[in-house]
Amino acid sequence: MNSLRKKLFFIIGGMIGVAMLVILGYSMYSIRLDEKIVSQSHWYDLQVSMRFMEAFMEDIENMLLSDTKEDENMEKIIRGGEGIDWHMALIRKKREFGKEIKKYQFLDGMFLYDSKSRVFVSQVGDYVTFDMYSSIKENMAYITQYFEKGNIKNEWSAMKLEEQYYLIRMIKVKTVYICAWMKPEHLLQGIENQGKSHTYFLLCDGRARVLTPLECLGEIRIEGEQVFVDQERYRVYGYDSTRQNLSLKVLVKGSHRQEVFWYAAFPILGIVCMGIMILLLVWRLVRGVVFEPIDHMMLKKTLEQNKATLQFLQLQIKPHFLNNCLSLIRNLILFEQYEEAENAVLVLSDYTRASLRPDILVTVEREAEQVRSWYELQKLRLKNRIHVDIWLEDGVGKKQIPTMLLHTFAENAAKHFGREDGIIEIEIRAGFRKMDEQEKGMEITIKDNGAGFPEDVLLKLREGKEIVDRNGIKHIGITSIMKRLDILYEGAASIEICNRDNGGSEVRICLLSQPVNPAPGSDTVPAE
Amino acid sequence: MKKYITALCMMGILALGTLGAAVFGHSAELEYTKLVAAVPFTGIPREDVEMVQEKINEITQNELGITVEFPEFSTSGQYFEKAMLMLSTPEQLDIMMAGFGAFMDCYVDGKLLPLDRLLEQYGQDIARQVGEEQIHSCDIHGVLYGIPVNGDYTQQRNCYVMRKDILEKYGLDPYGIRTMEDLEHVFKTVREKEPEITVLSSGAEPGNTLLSANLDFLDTSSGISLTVCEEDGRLVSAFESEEYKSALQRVHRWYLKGYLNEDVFGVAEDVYSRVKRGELFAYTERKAAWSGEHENFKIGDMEMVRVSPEPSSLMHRGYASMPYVITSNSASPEASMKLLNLFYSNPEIENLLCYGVEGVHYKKTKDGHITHAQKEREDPFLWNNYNMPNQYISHVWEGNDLDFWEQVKTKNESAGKGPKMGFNFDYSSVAAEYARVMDIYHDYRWILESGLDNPEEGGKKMMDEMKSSGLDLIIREEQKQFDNWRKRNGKGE
Repeated sequence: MNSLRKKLFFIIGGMIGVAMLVILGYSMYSIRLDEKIVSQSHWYDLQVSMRFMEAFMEDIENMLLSDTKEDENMEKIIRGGEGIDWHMALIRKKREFGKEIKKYQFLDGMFLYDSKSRVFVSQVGDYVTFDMYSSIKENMAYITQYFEKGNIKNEWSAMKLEEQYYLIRMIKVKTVYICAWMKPEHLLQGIENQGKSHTYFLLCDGRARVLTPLECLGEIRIEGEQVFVDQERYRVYGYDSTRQNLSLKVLVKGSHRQEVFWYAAFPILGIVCMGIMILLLVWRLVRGVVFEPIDHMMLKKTLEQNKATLQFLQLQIKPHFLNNCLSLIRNLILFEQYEEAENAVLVLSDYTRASLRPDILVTVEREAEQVRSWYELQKLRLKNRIHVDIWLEDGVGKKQIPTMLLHTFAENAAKHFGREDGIIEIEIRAGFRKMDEQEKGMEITIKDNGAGFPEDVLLKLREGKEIVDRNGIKHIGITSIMKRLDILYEGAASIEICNRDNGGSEVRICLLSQPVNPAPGSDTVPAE
Repeated sequence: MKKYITALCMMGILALGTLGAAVFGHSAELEYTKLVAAVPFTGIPREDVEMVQEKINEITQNELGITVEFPEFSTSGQYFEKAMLMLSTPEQLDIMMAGFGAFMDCYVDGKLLPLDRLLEQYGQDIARQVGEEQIHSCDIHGVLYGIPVNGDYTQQRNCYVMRKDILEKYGLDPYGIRTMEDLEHVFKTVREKEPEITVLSSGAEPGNTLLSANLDFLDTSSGISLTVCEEDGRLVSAFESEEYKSALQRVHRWYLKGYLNEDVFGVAEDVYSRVKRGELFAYTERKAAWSGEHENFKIGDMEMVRVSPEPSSLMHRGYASMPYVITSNSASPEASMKLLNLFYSNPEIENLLCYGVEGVHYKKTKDGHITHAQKEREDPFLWNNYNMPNQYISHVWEGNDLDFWEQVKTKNESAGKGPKMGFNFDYSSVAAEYARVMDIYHDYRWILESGLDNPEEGGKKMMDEMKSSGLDLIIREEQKQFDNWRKRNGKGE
């Protein structure tokens, strides 16, 4: 039964294994898919943010261009000179700057520089430190030169002043430069998605210079799809602006595979654990649900076998028969037929010895011998009134059959002869069954010329029911045989009992296979 | 069998646990009224303010069933801007400290609630703590709109803060500076001897200019006033007054002498940073002469000394300079008044507001004063306590006499009070002209009050522009209201 359990175990284990493989395969596939989706989603987010920045920068550009149209103030400034009017024009410009800075959230500063009078009018927003302002103010010459060179006449550009980057948009009206500027870090603040650790947003210009350097990343140039910082790998997602010379990049730590692995690992681990638990459950349950009933059934069978054996044993001891024989022998002694008496004693001792062996199986030869012994003993009583004829096919003699198989029916025939006169003729044949030249078991027939079986008894026998006669005594001989055949041949044996046309009965026993191993504790009788 | 029982038990425990958590979690949320109080905590770290907020809530929840929230911008440098912004949205804002001119601006925008009835019903303690006359200083057209804080209202005019080390270097005695002449002498010396240093800052923001130290109408704690009151009760344009004109002359003279080389058009750093960097010798201020605030103090590593040469006098800022108001965005004016009442009357709350949490920010000393709780860290609330409702019931910082607040009260009484004190001009009927005139002033002051341009010419130009923008109309309206106010308060001739 262990093998059955193992089989079950392997089947279920196999099923779970297959399921896990399928899940793993699917996970790998979806990881790859996920990579693409994440990449696209980043790109889209960056695009949205960049569009926002572009729009902002264009707004400021427009403001700058419209503000510097030559209005009264500008004229005065350009005319220059000294005096209150000029000062007031400058002051009014400064206040204008202040208003614009308040209007635009990320506009950090505006200034005006008159190259003629060298006056510098400036206003800054809250993000700006005094150092930033000083950087701009003190590098005015450099800024204007750069502008004149033609690099930043019509668009925003990033300038590096004293280790910091500034986004500058400048225009020139006659001798006056007007500029709106902002710190890229401030602009980045507006779109940064805070909260994700190990994710860094960087604003770069068209030349891959990082405008918003972060201390934790150090000096890096971003080119391509990944970058290494301190041995750590970062994936780069970027979006290049089409309208401004800027590019927005986000650095995400770690490889995508690694990241997702952790997401996938846990569910898979969970499934594996579940699988193992199911397996264990099955192991434990199967024992109770499947194996025990089987064991139970086996037990029942064994019990039955033992019962049959017991019954069989019971049959062996027939004190009535023994007494009769002894009486007959006594008579022989009384009549001084000493040779016959000695003979009879020998036959009786043979018979009894063989009878008392508790073997379940015996060779055909032995069984025939037993029947002959019984025949001799019957002759003591019946003299010539009984005739038993036994014919065995060549080779059948060594085959095994259940004990008492032939004897029971022979005895039965003699017991139920039915008449006080006449000769009891019993014919026993044992041979091989042949099917298409193949030997397929044995066939045994026992014929007699007695009264035959009554119909009701036949019926009962065929149905396997108990036979109880008028006096309430159970006749268990044939039913016992039938039970034993059932146990020993597991359905490969059959008994047909019928009455012959000329009177008497015929018992045909077909044994299609070898008998199975009998219950432990018994062995077969070696041929004597 | 045993296995089934165990399994059932575990499931039972789990179910009960979740049920319990749900029930208890839910019941922890009781119903409190939430009020948003914009108390200024400018420059104080947010975590410290939150500590105070928590402790205050313990008291207010207990006594009034109110939860108080200090909004984000309480600690920001743009307190007033952000507060005004919040008012222009429907966001909840119950209580606010509407100082520095915001009082009238809020009123004109229709953002203030009248307080007479509320004060009567829920603010009895306030009335007791603050006093009739003080409270009515916050009337507008005879209706109460604000509640003044209890604190030091005195201001010393004409103060100059200078670097002690430079004075000592050139043998200049700070306590010998008693007149403006003495002052100018000091400036001259420093200019000659230390050409790299700017002698005096003319100040970048209104209220910080040279003139606001002397001219009350430019003192922005109450908002810039366009008029001054003559002896006969007549209001005249402030910018045409002798006071203003002579002040401008003085400043222009100083400019020409090189004491002020302000970059008027650029961006100026604040005076403290400039002093720390060694770029500035002196600046002016209009300071309350606390005895808790020594006349010698430090800015960074620089030792500074404050002098106030004549003409200097102790002036009263005006009780309407820093009122607490209940705004029209309030969720519950009644609850707000109750809360204010508690703020004004509960010393525990007051100390939390003024000085922080005991043991964390300040600690008591043996003789009944308080001082910094840790040597390494100054009490961050210390310099902000003047913003708080009722300092009279708070602790006394070490170094001051124990009856400090009594002294303050006395000083308040004795300080000089201008004839317009207690009068609040409602400019809503001339709002457009008022805005234009103010704009003109804010343009011209850059060049006039920094001494950059000729004050006569500049002053005249400014007046011309103001007049053509309706200045006279404004003055007439103010005169009308002023006369009414004087009649109401029995201040007739």
